[in-house]
Amino acid sequence: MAGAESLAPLDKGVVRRNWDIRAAAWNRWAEVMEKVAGRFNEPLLDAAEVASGHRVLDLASGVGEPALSCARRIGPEGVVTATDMSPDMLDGARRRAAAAELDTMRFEIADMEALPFADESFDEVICRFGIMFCPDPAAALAEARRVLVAGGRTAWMVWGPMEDTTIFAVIQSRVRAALGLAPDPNLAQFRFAAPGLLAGLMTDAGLGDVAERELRLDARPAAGSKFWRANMEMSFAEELADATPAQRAEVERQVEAGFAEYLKDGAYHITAHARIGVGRRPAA
Amino acid sequence: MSDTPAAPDDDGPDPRSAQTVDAKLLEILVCPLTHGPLRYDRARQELISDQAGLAYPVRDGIPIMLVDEARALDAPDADS
Repeated sequence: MAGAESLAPLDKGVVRRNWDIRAAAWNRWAEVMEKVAGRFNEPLLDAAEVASGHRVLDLASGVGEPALSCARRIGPEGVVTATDMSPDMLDGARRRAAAAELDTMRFEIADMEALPFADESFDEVICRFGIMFCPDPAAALAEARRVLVAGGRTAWMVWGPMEDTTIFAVIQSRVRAALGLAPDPNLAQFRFAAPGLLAGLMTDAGLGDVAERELRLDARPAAGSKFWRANMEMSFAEELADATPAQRAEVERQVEAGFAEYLKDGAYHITAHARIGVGRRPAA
Repeated sequence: MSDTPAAPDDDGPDPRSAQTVDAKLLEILVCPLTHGPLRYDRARQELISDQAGLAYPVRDGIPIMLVDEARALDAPDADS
């Protein structure tokens, strides 16, 4: 299998518990992060060709990205089924859907490696930054194929190498250093950083017309702004919960110093790099 | 998908049935283990896979479709 042997192993129970722990921070920041999230959501929905009236399955919906954007796109005749392994994360999606009066969304706790849906139930299957956390991503891709209609499209967003996404590169190194933690060379978020790895698995899963698209974004947050705080709290929820006020202050000082290296003309010049694996279930 | 006849939604104050599973979702749900049909037991708030011998809990109207969270049908449930 194309490079799959290079994937670091994961324990599903540990992954699930970690998301339950992180859910409070993700919920707290969901609305603040909505605009940034949209810059990733829309290219994913475009890649999957999500359109008005479609039935869409969103895997690893978390606190609602991109399921809510998807619900807005499909309109009143479509249906989005939002799923996640973590009830605490999905509660956030439900809360936000109710606040936005999006009544075309369904919610369910499901494992993308063993989906509880009948064959050919969906026009599109989408997953934003979720497949990296699957112990068996090949199973998840095979399940997506199974529940798609013939010709139905699927799109999966993953992160490129960590160093290409400034916010991760700075926060990971600085927070770990400030808390006295060793660098983690096997962060699950970057399991699909190698180009072609996702596309290879998609082809192996029996999907057709497979391609990987690059998504490179940049941003210019104003000098001195704490744009990184949300990401820091979401990524290091467990570690920061145990930090003393003094440790916390040191973490923030170090993170700020890390971003100072990207300052130019009154703004931080930061970049992000994701990939979208696209494919479709071949017509019968 | 079959729907076990049970008390109507407004039949009483049982908090477990305060929120029921969305009807459109029920149409496409199957057992994740067997891909066989499910029965919705409204009184217990469970989705039952007779083929797998498992009952999947429904919490606040959200089906928990994970095999390791399901109750084995030959095992006593938490209420008995």
